[in-house]
Amino acid sequence: MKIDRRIVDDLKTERPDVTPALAPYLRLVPILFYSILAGGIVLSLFFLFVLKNAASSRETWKAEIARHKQDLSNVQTARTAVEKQSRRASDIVAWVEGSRCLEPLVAAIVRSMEPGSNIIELGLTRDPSSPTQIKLTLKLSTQGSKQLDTTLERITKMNFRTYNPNQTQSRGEIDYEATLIYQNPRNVATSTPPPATPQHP
Amino acid sequence: MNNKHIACVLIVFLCVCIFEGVSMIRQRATAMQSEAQAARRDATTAEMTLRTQQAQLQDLKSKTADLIAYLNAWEPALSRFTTPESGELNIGAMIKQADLILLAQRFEVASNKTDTSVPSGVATIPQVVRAHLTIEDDFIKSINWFGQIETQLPCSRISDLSITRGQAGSDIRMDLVVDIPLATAPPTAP
Repeated sequence: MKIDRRIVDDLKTERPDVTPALAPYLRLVPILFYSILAGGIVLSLFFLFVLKNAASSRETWKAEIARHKQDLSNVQTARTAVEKQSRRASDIVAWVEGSRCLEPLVAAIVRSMEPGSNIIELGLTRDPSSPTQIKLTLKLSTQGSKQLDTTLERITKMNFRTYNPNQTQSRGEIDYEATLIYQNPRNVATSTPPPATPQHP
Repeated sequence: MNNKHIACVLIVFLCVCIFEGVSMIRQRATAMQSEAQAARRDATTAEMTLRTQQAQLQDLKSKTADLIAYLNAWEPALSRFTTPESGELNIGAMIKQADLILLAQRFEVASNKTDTSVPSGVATIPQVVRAHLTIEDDFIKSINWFGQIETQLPCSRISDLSITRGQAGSDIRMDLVVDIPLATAPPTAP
Protein backbone atom coordinates (compact mmCIF):
# COMPACT_ATOMS: atom_id res chain seq x y z
CA MET A 1 0.00 0.00 0.00
CA LYS A 2 1.44 3.42 -0.90
CA ILE A 3 1.54 6.28 1.66
CA ASP A 4 1.50 9.87 0.59
CA ARG A 5 4.82 11.52 1.22
CA ARG A 6 3.15 14.81 2.16
CA ILE A 7 1.16 13.32 5.04
CA VAL A 8 3.68 11.11 6.72
CA ASP A 9 7.27 11.94 7.21
CA ASP A 10 8.86 8.58 6.96
CA LEU A 11 12.46 8.01 7.82
CA LYS A 12 12.47 4.90 5.85
CA THR A 13 14.25 4.91 2.60
CA GLU A 14 12.17 4.63 -0.45
CA ARG A 15 11.64 1.03 -1.43
CA PRO A 16 9.32 -0.80 -3.74
CA ASP A 17 6.33 -2.78 -2.36
CA VAL A 18 7.28 -6.28 -1.28
CA THR A 19 4.08 -7.77 -2.55
CA PRO A 20 1.55 -6.39 -4.96
CA ALA A 21 -1.73 -4.99 -3.63
CA LEU A 22 -4.65 -7.32 -3.27
CA ALA A 23 -7.68 -7.04 -5.48
CA PRO A 24 -10.28 -4.52 -4.15
CA TYR A 25 -12.98 -7.13 -3.72
CA LEU A 26 -10.81 -8.95 -1.21
CA ARG A 27 -11.33 -6.00 1.16
CA LEU A 28 -14.59 -7.77 1.93
CA VAL A 29 -12.66 -10.58 3.62
CA PRO A 30 -11.98 -8.75 6.93
CA ILE A 31 -15.51 -7.31 6.85
CA LEU A 32 -16.86 -10.81 6.36
CA PHE A 33 -14.62 -12.11 9.14
CA TYR A 34 -15.73 -9.55 11.70
CA SER A 35 -19.37 -9.94 10.69
CA ILE A 36 -19.18 -13.72 11.01
CA LEU A 37 -17.33 -13.40 14.34
CA ALA A 38 -19.97 -11.06 15.74
CA GLY A 39 -22.84 -13.05 14.30
CA GLY A 40 -21.27 -16.29 15.53
CA ILE A 41 -21.01 -14.95 19.06
CA VAL A 42 -24.61 -13.71 19.04
CA LEU A 43 -25.99 -16.89 17.49
CA SER A 44 -23.90 -19.10 19.76
CA LEU A 45 -25.23 -17.28 22.80
CA PHE A 46 -28.77 -17.60 21.48
CA PHE A 47 -28.43 -21.32 20.74
CA LEU A 48 -26.74 -21.92 24.10
CA PHE A 49 -29.68 -20.20 25.74
CA VAL A 50 -32.11 -22.39 23.76
CA LEU A 51 -30.05 -25.49 24.64
CA LYS A 52 -30.09 -24.64 28.33
CA ASN A 53 -33.82 -24.01 28.31
CA ALA A 54 -34.52 -27.24 26.40
CA ALA A 55 -32.34 -29.23 28.82
CA SER A 56 -34.16 -27.70 31.78
CA SER A 57 -37.52 -28.40 30.15
CA ARG A 58 -36.52 -32.00 29.41
CA GLU A 59 -35.50 -32.55 33.03
CA THR A 60 -38.78 -31.05 34.23
CA TRP A 61 -40.83 -33.34 31.98
CA LYS A 62 -38.74 -36.34 32.96
CA ALA A 63 -39.41 -35.57 36.61
CA GLU A 64 -43.10 -35.28 35.75
CA ILE A 65 -42.98 -38.70 34.03
CA ALA A 66 -41.29 -40.22 37.08
CA ARG A 67 -43.95 -38.69 39.35
CA HIS A 68 -46.77 -40.02 37.13
CA LYS A 69 -45.16 -43.46 37.06
CA GLN A 70 -44.94 -43.46 40.86
CA ASP A 71 -48.59 -42.40 41.11
CA LEU A 72 -49.55 -45.06 38.58
CA SER A 73 -47.71 -47.66 40.60
CA ASN A 74 -49.60 -46.55 43.72
CA VAL A 75 -52.91 -46.70 41.86
CA GLN A 76 -52.13 -50.19 40.58
CA THR A 77 -51.18 -51.32 44.09
CA ALA A 78 -54.47 -49.94 45.41
CA ARG A 79 -56.35 -51.63 42.56
CA THR A 80 -54.71 -54.97 43.32
CA ALA A 81 -55.66 -54.59 46.98
CA VAL A 82 -59.27 -53.75 46.08
CA GLU A 83 -59.41 -56.73 43.72
CA LYS A 84 -58.03 -59.01 46.42
CA GLN A 85 -60.59 -57.73 48.90
CA SER A 86 -63.34 -58.09 46.34
CA ARG A 87 -62.29 -61.68 45.60
CA ARG A 88 -62.18 -62.44 49.30
CA ALA A 89 -65.62 -60.88 49.76
CA SER A 90 -67.00 -62.97 46.88
CA ASP A 91 -65.60 -66.11 48.50
CA ILE A 92 -67.19 -65.17 51.80
CA VAL A 93 -70.50 -64.41 50.11
CA ALA A 94 -70.33 -67.84 48.48
CA TRP A 95 -69.54 -69.45 51.83
CA VAL A 96 -72.31 -67.59 53.66
CA GLU A 97 -74.82 -68.35 50.90
CA GLY A 98 -73.94 -72.00 51.29
CA SER A 99 -74.25 -71.85 55.07
CA ARG A 100 -77.84 -70.73 55.31
CA CYS A 101 -79.41 -71.66 58.65
CA LEU A 102 -81.19 -74.99 58.59
CA GLU A 103 -82.78 -74.70 62.02
CA PRO A 104 -85.75 -72.55 60.82
CA LEU A 105 -86.35 -75.06 58.03
CA VAL A 106 -86.23 -78.00 60.44
CA ALA A 107 -88.53 -76.16 62.84
CA ALA A 108 -90.97 -75.37 60.00
CA ILE A 109 -91.04 -79.02 58.88
CA VAL A 110 -91.55 -80.24 62.45
CA ARG A 111 -94.30 -77.69 63.14
CA SER A 112 -96.10 -78.65 59.95
CA MET A 113 -96.93 -82.08 61.40
CA GLU A 114 -100.63 -82.55 61.95
CA PRO A 115 -102.15 -84.91 64.53
CA GLY A 116 -101.71 -88.49 63.38
CA SER A 117 -98.57 -87.76 61.41
CA ASN A 118 -95.01 -88.35 62.56
CA ILE A 119 -91.55 -87.79 61.21
CA ILE A 120 -89.68 -91.06 61.14
CA GLU A 121 -86.58 -89.63 59.60
CA LEU A 122 -85.51 -86.20 58.45
CA GLY A 123 -82.31 -85.61 56.55
CA LEU A 124 -80.79 -82.44 55.13
CA THR A 125 -77.56 -82.83 53.23
CA ARG A 126 -75.74 -80.10 51.37
CA ASP A 127 -74.23 -80.86 48.00
CA PRO A 128 -70.43 -80.74 48.61
CA SER A 129 -69.76 -79.04 45.28
CA SER A 130 -72.73 -76.68 45.50
CA PRO A 131 -73.66 -76.09 49.14
CA THR A 132 -76.64 -73.88 48.30
CA GLN A 133 -78.41 -77.05 47.13
CA ILE A 134 -79.80 -79.04 50.02
CA LYS A 135 -80.97 -82.57 49.58
CA LEU A 136 -84.07 -83.18 51.67
CA THR A 137 -84.91 -86.71 52.76
CA LEU A 138 -88.17 -87.02 54.64
CA LYS A 139 -89.79 -90.20 55.87
CA LEU A 140 -93.27 -89.65 57.22
CA SER A 141 -95.74 -91.84 58.99
CA THR A 142 -99.10 -90.55 57.83
CA GLN A 143 -102.32 -91.43 56.12
CA GLY A 144 -102.73 -89.89 52.69
CA SER A 145 -100.62 -87.24 51.04
CA LYS A 146 -102.21 -84.19 52.68
CA GLN A 147 -99.51 -84.05 55.33
CA LEU A 148 -96.76 -83.96 52.70
CA ASP A 149 -98.55 -81.15 50.86
CA THR A 150 -98.79 -79.14 54.10
CA THR A 151 -95.10 -79.71 54.81
CA LEU A 152 -94.07 -78.73 51.31
CA GLU A 153 -96.20 -75.61 51.58
CA ARG A 154 -94.35 -74.64 54.74
CA ILE A 155 -91.04 -75.26 53.01
CA THR A 156 -92.10 -73.01 50.14
CA LYS A 157 -93.08 -70.29 52.63
CA MET A 158 -89.50 -70.44 53.90
CA ASN A 159 -88.44 -69.34 50.36
CA PHE A 160 -87.12 -72.78 49.43
CA ARG A 161 -88.05 -74.25 46.09
CA THR A 162 -88.08 -78.00 45.52
CA TYR A 163 -86.40 -79.58 42.52
CA ASN A 164 -86.33 -83.18 41.32
CA PRO A 165 -88.90 -84.45 43.84
CA ASN A 166 -89.20 -88.17 44.28
CA GLN A 167 -92.00 -89.66 46.34
CA THR A 168 -92.85 -93.22 47.27
CA GLN A 169 -95.80 -94.24 49.42
CA SER A 170 -96.41 -97.58 51.07
CA ARG A 171 -98.30 -98.85 54.15
CA GLY A 172 -98.92 -95.46 55.79
CA GLU A 173 -95.39 -94.24 55.14
CA ILE A 174 -94.20 -91.66 52.67
CA ASP A 175 -90.62 -91.39 51.52
CA TYR A 176 -89.95 -88.03 49.96
CA GLU A 177 -86.74 -86.78 48.44
CA ALA A 178 -86.07 -83.45 46.77
CA THR A 179 -83.40 -80.84 46.27
CA LEU A 180 -84.10 -77.55 48.01
CA ILE A 181 -82.73 -74.29 46.69
CA TYR A 182 -83.22 -71.04 48.55
CA GLN A 183 -84.78 -68.26 46.48
CA ASN A 184 -83.30 -65.11 47.88
CA PRO A 185 -85.79 -62.23 47.52
CA ARG A 186 -82.92 -59.74 47.65
CA ASN A 187 -79.39 -59.95 46.44
CA VAL A 188 -77.44 -59.22 49.59
CA ALA A 189 -74.00 -59.09 48.11
CA THR A 190 -74.64 -56.55 45.37
CA SER A 191 -77.66 -54.39 46.02
CA THR A 192 -78.36 -54.08 49.71
CA PRO A 193 -76.18 -52.77 52.49
CA PRO A 194 -74.60 -55.39 54.72
CA PRO A 195 -75.97 -56.10 58.16
CA ALA A 196 -74.44 -54.26 61.10
CA THR A 197 -73.66 -57.59 62.72
CA PRO A 198 -73.04 -60.71 60.68
CA GLN A 199 -76.18 -62.69 60.15
CA HIS A 200 -77.26 -65.11 57.52
CA PRO A 201 -79.08 -63.40 54.68
CA MET B 1 0.07 -16.89 -4.00
CA ASN B 2 1.67 -14.31 -1.71
CA ASN B 3 1.36 -13.81 2.07
CA LYS B 4 -1.71 -11.62 1.71
CA HIS B 5 -3.50 -14.33 -0.19
CA ILE B 6 -2.55 -16.85 2.46
CA ALA B 7 -3.88 -14.49 5.17
CA CYS B 8 -7.14 -14.20 3.28
CA VAL B 9 -7.43 -17.95 2.99
CA LEU B 10 -6.73 -18.30 6.72
CA ILE B 11 -9.39 -15.74 7.55
CA VAL B 12 -11.91 -17.48 5.32
CA PHE B 13 -10.96 -20.75 7.00
CA LEU B 14 -11.57 -19.15 10.40
CA CYS B 15 -14.94 -17.91 9.17
CA VAL B 16 -15.86 -21.45 8.11
CA CYS B 17 -14.75 -22.78 11.50
CA ILE B 18 -16.91 -20.21 13.32
CA PHE B 19 -19.83 -21.10 11.07
CA GLU B 20 -19.35 -24.81 11.80
CA GLY B 21 -19.10 -24.18 15.52
CA VAL B 22 -22.33 -22.18 15.56
CA SER B 23 -23.95 -24.86 13.44
CA MET B 24 -22.92 -27.56 15.92
CA ILE B 25 -24.34 -25.61 18.84
CA ARG B 26 -27.56 -25.11 16.88
CA GLN B 27 -27.80 -28.83 16.14
CA ARG B 28 -27.33 -29.65 19.80
CA ALA B 29 -29.98 -27.12 20.77
CA THR B 30 -32.40 -28.54 18.19
CA ALA B 31 -31.73 -32.11 19.36
CA MET B 32 -32.29 -31.07 22.97
CA GLN B 33 -35.52 -29.35 22.00
CA SER B 34 -36.67 -32.55 20.29
CA GLU B 35 -35.82 -34.53 23.41
CA ALA B 36 -37.73 -32.05 25.56
CA GLN B 37 -40.75 -32.31 23.27
CA ALA B 38 -40.58 -36.11 23.35
CA ALA B 39 -40.38 -36.00 27.16
CA ARG B 40 -43.39 -33.67 27.18
CA ARG B 41 -45.36 -36.08 24.97
CA ASP B 42 -44.38 -38.99 27.23
CA ALA B 43 -45.41 -37.01 30.29
CA THR B 44 -48.78 -36.21 28.71
CA THR B 45 -49.30 -39.88 27.85
CA ALA B 46 -48.28 -40.92 31.38
CA GLU B 47 -50.70 -38.38 32.85
CA MET B 48 -53.54 -39.64 30.66
CA THR B 49 -52.77 -43.24 31.64
CA LEU B 50 -52.68 -42.23 35.28
CA ARG B 51 -56.02 -40.42 35.04
CA THR B 52 -57.59 -43.42 33.27
CA GLN B 53 -56.27 -45.78 35.93
CA GLN B 54 -57.46 -43.46 38.71
CA ALA B 55 -60.92 -43.30 37.15
CA GLN B 56 -60.99 -47.10 36.80
CA LEU B 57 -59.90 -47.47 40.43
CA GLN B 58 -62.66 -45.13 41.59
CA ASP B 59 -65.15 -47.03 39.46
CA LEU B 60 -63.95 -50.34 40.89
CA LYS B 61 -64.14 -48.94 44.43
CA SER B 62 -67.69 -47.70 43.94
CA LYS B 63 -68.74 -50.98 42.32
CA THR B 64 -67.25 -53.11 45.09
CA ALA B 65 -68.18 -50.82 47.99
CA ASP B 66 -71.17 -52.92 49.01
CA LEU B 67 -69.23 -56.14 48.63
CA ILE B 68 -66.34 -54.83 50.73
CA ALA B 69 -68.71 -53.47 53.37
CA TYR B 70 -70.26 -56.95 53.46
CA LEU B 71 -66.76 -58.41 53.87
CA ASN B 72 -65.96 -55.98 56.68
CA ALA B 73 -69.17 -56.96 58.47
CA TRP B 74 -68.31 -60.65 58.26
CA GLU B 75 -64.57 -60.43 58.79
CA PRO B 76 -64.67 -60.48 62.62
CA ALA B 77 -66.86 -63.58 62.66
CA LEU B 78 -64.68 -65.25 60.06
CA SER B 79 -61.35 -64.47 61.70
CA ARG B 80 -62.59 -65.82 65.03
CA PHE B 81 -61.23 -69.26 64.22
CA THR B 82 -57.66 -69.35 63.06
CA THR B 83 -56.64 -72.81 64.26
CA PRO B 84 -58.45 -76.16 64.20
CA GLU B 85 -58.15 -76.34 67.99
CA SER B 86 -60.13 -73.14 68.51
CA GLY B 87 -63.01 -74.55 66.43
CA GLU B 88 -62.98 -77.87 68.30
CA LEU B 89 -62.91 -76.13 71.68
CA ASN B 90 -65.85 -73.92 70.74
CA ILE B 91 -68.04 -76.80 69.61
CA GLY B 92 -67.06 -78.85 72.68
CA ALA B 93 -67.86 -75.94 74.99
CA MET B 94 -71.26 -75.42 73.36
CA ILE B 95 -72.17 -79.10 73.81
CA LYS B 96 -71.10 -78.99 77.45
CA GLN B 97 -72.96 -75.75 78.06
CA ALA B 98 -76.17 -77.21 76.65
CA ASP B 99 -75.69 -80.37 78.74
CA LEU B 100 -76.52 -82.63 75.83
CA ILE B 101 -75.96 -86.36 75.69
CA LEU B 102 -73.20 -86.74 73.20
CA LEU B 103 -72.93 -90.25 71.78
CA ALA B 104 -70.02 -89.65 69.46
CA GLN B 105 -67.84 -86.87 68.24
CA ARG B 106 -65.02 -86.69 65.77
CA PHE B 107 -63.11 -83.73 64.42
CA GLU B 108 -61.09 -83.49 61.27
CA VAL B 109 -59.47 -80.78 59.21
CA ALA B 110 -60.73 -80.92 55.63
CA SER B 111 -59.96 -78.86 52.56
CA ASN B 112 -62.67 -76.54 51.34
CA LYS B 113 -63.32 -77.64 47.78
CA THR B 114 -65.80 -74.88 47.03
CA ASP B 115 -63.35 -72.01 47.49
CA THR B 116 -63.30 -70.19 44.15
CA SER B 117 -59.96 -68.54 44.82
CA VAL B 118 -58.05 -71.80 44.90
CA PRO B 119 -57.03 -71.71 41.19
CA SER B 120 -55.54 -68.24 41.61
CA GLY B 121 -53.49 -69.51 44.55
CA VAL B 122 -55.04 -67.22 47.18
CA ALA B 123 -57.62 -69.29 49.00
CA THR B 124 -59.82 -67.34 51.37
CA ILE B 125 -61.13 -70.41 53.17
CA PRO B 126 -58.65 -73.14 52.31
CA GLN B 127 -59.64 -75.46 55.16
CA VAL B 128 -62.49 -76.22 57.51
CA VAL B 129 -62.73 -77.94 60.85
CA ARG B 130 -65.32 -80.66 60.33
CA ALA B 131 -67.12 -81.89 63.43
CA HIS B 132 -69.05 -85.16 63.17
CA LEU B 133 -71.44 -85.21 66.11
CA THR B 134 -74.05 -87.69 67.26
CA ILE B 135 -76.42 -86.39 69.91
CA GLU B 136 -79.39 -88.05 71.55
CA ASP B 137 -81.43 -85.90 73.81
CA ASP B 138 -84.75 -84.17 74.26
CA PHE B 139 -86.24 -82.91 70.99
CA ILE B 140 -86.69 -79.27 71.99
CA LYS B 141 -83.35 -79.09 73.76
CA SER B 142 -81.54 -80.59 70.78
CA ILE B 143 -83.25 -78.39 68.19
CA ASN B 144 -82.59 -75.28 70.30
CA TRP B 145 -78.93 -76.20 70.59
CA PHE B 146 -78.82 -76.80 66.88
CA GLY B 147 -80.22 -73.31 66.29
CA GLN B 148 -77.79 -71.91 68.84
CA ILE B 149 -74.83 -73.21 66.83
CA GLU B 150 -76.02 -71.40 63.73
CA THR B 151 -76.61 -68.19 65.68
CA GLN B 152 -73.48 -68.13 67.80
CA LEU B 153 -71.22 -69.36 65.03
CA PRO B 154 -72.69 -67.50 62.05
CA CYS B 155 -69.90 -68.66 59.75
CA SER B 156 -70.43 -72.33 60.55
CA ARG B 157 -72.08 -74.55 57.98
CA ILE B 158 -74.26 -77.55 58.81
CA SER B 159 -73.32 -79.70 55.85
CA ASP B 160 -75.24 -82.80 56.91
CA LEU B 161 -78.10 -83.34 59.31
CA SER B 162 -80.07 -86.44 60.04
CA ILE B 163 -82.82 -86.60 62.67
CA THR B 164 -84.45 -89.85 63.75
CA ARG B 165 -86.39 -90.96 66.80
CA GLY B 166 -84.43 -91.53 69.95
CA GLN B 167 -84.66 -94.28 72.55
CA ALA B 168 -86.97 -92.41 74.96
CA GLY B 169 -90.32 -90.82 74.14
CA SER B 170 -89.39 -87.23 73.37
CA ASP B 171 -85.79 -87.90 72.51
CA ILE B 172 -84.32 -87.56 69.06
CA ARG B 173 -81.08 -88.81 67.65
CA MET B 174 -79.32 -86.15 65.68
CA ASP B 175 -76.32 -86.85 63.47
CA LEU B 176 -74.81 -83.70 62.16
CA VAL B 177 -71.69 -82.50 60.44
CA VAL B 178 -70.62 -78.95 61.23
CA ASP B 179 -68.01 -77.17 59.13
CA ILE B 180 -66.18 -74.26 60.73
CA PRO B 181 -64.14 -72.21 58.24
CA LEU B 182 -60.47 -71.55 58.86
CA ALA B 183 -59.95 -68.39 56.84
CA THR B 184 -56.61 -66.92 55.81
CA ALA B 185 -55.55 -63.53 57.16
CA PRO B 186 -57.35 -60.65 55.45
CA PRO B 187 -55.38 -58.55 52.92
CA THR B 188 -54.31 -55.09 53.97
CA ALA B 189 -56.83 -52.38 53.18
CA PRO B 190 -55.94 -50.03 50.27
